[in-house]
Amino acid sequence: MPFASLPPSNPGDPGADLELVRRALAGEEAAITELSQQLKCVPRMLAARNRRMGRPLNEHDLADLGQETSMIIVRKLDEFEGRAPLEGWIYKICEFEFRNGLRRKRRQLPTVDNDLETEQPSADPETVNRMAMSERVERALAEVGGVEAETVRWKFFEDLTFKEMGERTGMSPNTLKTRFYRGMERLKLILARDEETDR
Amino acid sequence: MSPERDKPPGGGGPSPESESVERLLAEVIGGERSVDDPLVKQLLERRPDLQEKVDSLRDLGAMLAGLGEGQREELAEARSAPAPGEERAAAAARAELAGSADRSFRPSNVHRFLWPALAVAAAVIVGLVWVWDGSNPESGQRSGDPGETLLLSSSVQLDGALPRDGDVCRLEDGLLVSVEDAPVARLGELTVRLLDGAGKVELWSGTMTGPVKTFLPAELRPMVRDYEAIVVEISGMIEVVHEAVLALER
Repeated sequence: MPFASLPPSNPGDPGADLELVRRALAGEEAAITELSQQLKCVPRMLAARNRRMGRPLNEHDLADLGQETSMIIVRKLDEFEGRAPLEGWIYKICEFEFRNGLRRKRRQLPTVDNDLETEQPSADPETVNRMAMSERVERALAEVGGVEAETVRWKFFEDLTFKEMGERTGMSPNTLKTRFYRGMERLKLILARDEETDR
Repeated sequence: MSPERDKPPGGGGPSPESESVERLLAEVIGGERSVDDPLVKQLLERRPDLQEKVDSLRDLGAMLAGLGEGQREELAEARSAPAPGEERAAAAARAELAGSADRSFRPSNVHRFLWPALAVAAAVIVGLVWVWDGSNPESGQRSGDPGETLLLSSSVQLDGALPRDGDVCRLEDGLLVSVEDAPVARLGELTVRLLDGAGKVELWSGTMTGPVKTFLPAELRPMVRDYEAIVVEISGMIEVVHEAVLALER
């Protein structure tokens, strides 16, 4: 089920999402309406992340962050290549912008308000760890790059089988398996190196 | 077993495993084949050195699967609960989308450059065919046909005299350009460089566009007059308008 009241025609289909984005960028009214409705997911994603983090941002911060992030997404739309569903692509941007919003909030904290320390319940440590790990993995995957990194994302973040990846990309599942294996090897080396550097 | 296979793992180099082994292990690490599968067991019996790598990659896979699961839960949560400001964000996004559509259609870098690249490639091919045809001794003198697109890449030395209307300037590759007081060619974008007579010092460089009436645009003429000898280099695409003004002579 898509996010907003007007569902896209093929939710979760990267090809259909890419087509929708292209039509919207070309100025087609119906596509602009559909896409802007889909972008209602942005405040929802940010709110879900905020809940899991123990609500460090208040409603006003969240609404502002939702609008800012939606604008960023619209400006980046021409970078959407349809290699993953639009929802997943938006989620990554929301995740990144939420972290930025949180950092901004924390910088203001000593002088502006003390929501994080006193008024709000503390963040779930598991979620905090997951966020930190997710950030490290994303950085490492960016370094791996290419189909190797994409296959790792598709496998673990989208739960796709190699056959489904093949249908999405037109590549043979056997080739994708090889690229996945090499991507995992490279990812492991990069994460180990980063861990060593952090010590 | 190839010697490559026996290299120690790590170091960021190519994988020491053969592709068939990599595919089998990918299925195990990706959770599509059990580690108890007979084929996997056979492989690990034959290659006990792989056991540690398989275990560590499976651990990494389990960690990534956990991250993925968390993300999917969060997405499911986001789908079901309305959030503050979502109407405002959607309205702002809509306005921004409509605005960006007004400015230009920018679907992707690939599509943005595809058609211009194809057009340039086609024009270059046409130009090269024309130059080749002209260099053929049997072709003799030949005019550019109106509507034809030509590639110019040449230079001419002007010895103190500016080309006048009706003059014919000889370019080094055999291209002759005559100048008339009428539009002779439309330029796609012609790069022009003026160099000193020795061709070493660049005096001016720029691009010319639009219809061409004379070989040198008026603003360059005073500059050329100051030098006894000057080299004009031109490169770019032109579209022939008048058949009399461009000819190729061997």
